[in-house]
Amino acid sequence: MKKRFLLFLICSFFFLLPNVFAVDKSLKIYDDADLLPDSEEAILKSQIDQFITTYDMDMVVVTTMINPYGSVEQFATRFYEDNGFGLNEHKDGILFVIDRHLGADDAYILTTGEALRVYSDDRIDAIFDDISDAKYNNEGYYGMIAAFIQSSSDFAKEGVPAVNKNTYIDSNGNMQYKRTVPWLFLIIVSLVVASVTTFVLVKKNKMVKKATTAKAYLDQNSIQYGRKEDHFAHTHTSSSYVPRNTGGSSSGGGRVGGTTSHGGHGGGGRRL
Amino acid sequence: MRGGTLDHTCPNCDAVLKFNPHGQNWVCEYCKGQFTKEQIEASEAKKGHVLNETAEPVKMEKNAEGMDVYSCPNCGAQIVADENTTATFCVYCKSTAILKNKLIGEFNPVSVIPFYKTKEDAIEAFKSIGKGKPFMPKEFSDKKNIGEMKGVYIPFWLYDYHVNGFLEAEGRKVSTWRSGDYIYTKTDTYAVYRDAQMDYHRIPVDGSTHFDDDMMNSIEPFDYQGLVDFSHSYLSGFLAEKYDVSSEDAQKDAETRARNSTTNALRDSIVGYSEVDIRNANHQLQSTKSDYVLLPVWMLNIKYKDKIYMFAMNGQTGKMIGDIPIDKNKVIRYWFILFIATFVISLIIWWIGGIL
Repeated sequence: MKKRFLLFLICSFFFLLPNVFAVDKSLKIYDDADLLPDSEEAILKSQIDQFITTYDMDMVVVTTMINPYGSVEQFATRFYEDNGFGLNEHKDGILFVIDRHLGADDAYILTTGEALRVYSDDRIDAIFDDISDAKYNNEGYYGMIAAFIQSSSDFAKEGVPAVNKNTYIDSNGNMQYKRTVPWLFLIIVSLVVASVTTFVLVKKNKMVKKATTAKAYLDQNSIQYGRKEDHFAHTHTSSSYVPRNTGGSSSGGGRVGGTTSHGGHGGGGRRL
Repeated sequence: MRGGTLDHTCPNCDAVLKFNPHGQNWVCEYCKGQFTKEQIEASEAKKGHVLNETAEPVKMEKNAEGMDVYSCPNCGAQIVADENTTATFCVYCKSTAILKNKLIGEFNPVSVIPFYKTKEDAIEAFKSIGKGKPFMPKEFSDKKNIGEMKGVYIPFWLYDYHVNGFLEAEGRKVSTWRSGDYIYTKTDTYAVYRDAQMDYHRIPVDGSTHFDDDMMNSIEPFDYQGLVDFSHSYLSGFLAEKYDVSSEDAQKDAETRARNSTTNALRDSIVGYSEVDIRNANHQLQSTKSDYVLLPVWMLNIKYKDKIYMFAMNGQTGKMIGDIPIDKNKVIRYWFILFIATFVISLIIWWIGGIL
């Protein structure tokens, strides 16, 4: 009984964990790790506001030294959801978090709603590349976050990439591929089935056929083989180069997660 | 009076007997008596009545169309027949008219398969010819379209062959496998030899130019268990022809069929290969026997929309064949419905596939 009660308490702790990061959702930039001076925060805030206004999509930037959720992905998800970020019906928005609780710059980009469609795997990789470039160019956290905002804006300006053109966001916030009816294929199949069947039935009307064999008159018991030989003559082996399908592409160094679209969120992470 | 004809007469009432295909006996249409051949012969011997083999229609002259005109020995009416007709009947007195001088010597058949199917059977078979043929015009198989209809004993040559068959072929076993980024294909080639003896019995070839060879092929097979020694008695009530294609000419078709079947039989013994190419087939055929027989066929002329369609029914087995005209409107309608149905079903399958 005691064990059950303990289990209940543990479960309650995790599931009913209060929003430990309740914030003013209008600020959009939350430098809890104190990586930016106020002046830079103000500049970045204005850029974020510009993004939100232009692309009708929320943008949030978080830095933290504490992560009670274990993974940076979980942190990003809880921060976004618990504080009610996102615009429109599907909570469209993009969140960038730098988690320093392990002493390194574990970053994650979380996409929600329409942002799932705009920021494909490749685009998130590209954004991380821009952020990494800023870091290695010693532009500091300001430069990294500015690179995130700039790169995100560039892609938002380009709109939905070709790879996601045939998608939509369903009522659960998940990205789904639209199923387009393969009209041409169905027409060809129907044409072939109708034509072949009709041809076979038309042929049934022609009953008069020339006999070319006499199988019905062959005495099967009379067949006596004198020679029944199979001699191996030669062999030939050829090869053709057909590379295996490796089943996916590898990501750049430091990538800790791929883009996902379960639970209404997508995104990817990288240790910078 | 009857003694002058080639018909059997009823032991009871002396009326002309007709051959009854269903009972394989002879029936009297007047007193309804039914008799076997032995019963009739016994009765005729008792009465001192024998088939007058010398009584045959007297050939008078050729008519304007070049047809032979005979005088019926029974009633004196004219009987018109072409040069290959060996049995017909007088349209006035219905007496069988066997043109005996055409059934002697080399034209005397060894055996005959009597008719097992009647005229009524042929009509019924024609009426149901449209089963499984949705494009047949609706009224085509109507009985009223049946024009001339005749039961004919058609001359056939039956050939027996002993064949020494030889076949040389190339067999290939192909296997494929993957190793790394390469797919390998290995082909083992074999030289294959087959040598066998086999026998063919009674390959039939139509011996009359009056009947379409392909049509006669199509009504095969006949059940040769039904062959009996030839007797004029079986011809009563039917037409009969003598051959006008010699055995030497006819056997080319039989040889071709035997050669093809020998190749097929040897080819069927080559197993275990992915591909087989025949390089050489050389068969020695030895004709061991050829018989001249008469086989029963019902011939039907079908008149439909001012065109004549020929149909034939195997008079022994009832197999009916003929080329059936096609109703183009039905074809178009059927194709369109099938197209729409396939399209809708494909769409539903695609849609269900999406749900699952």
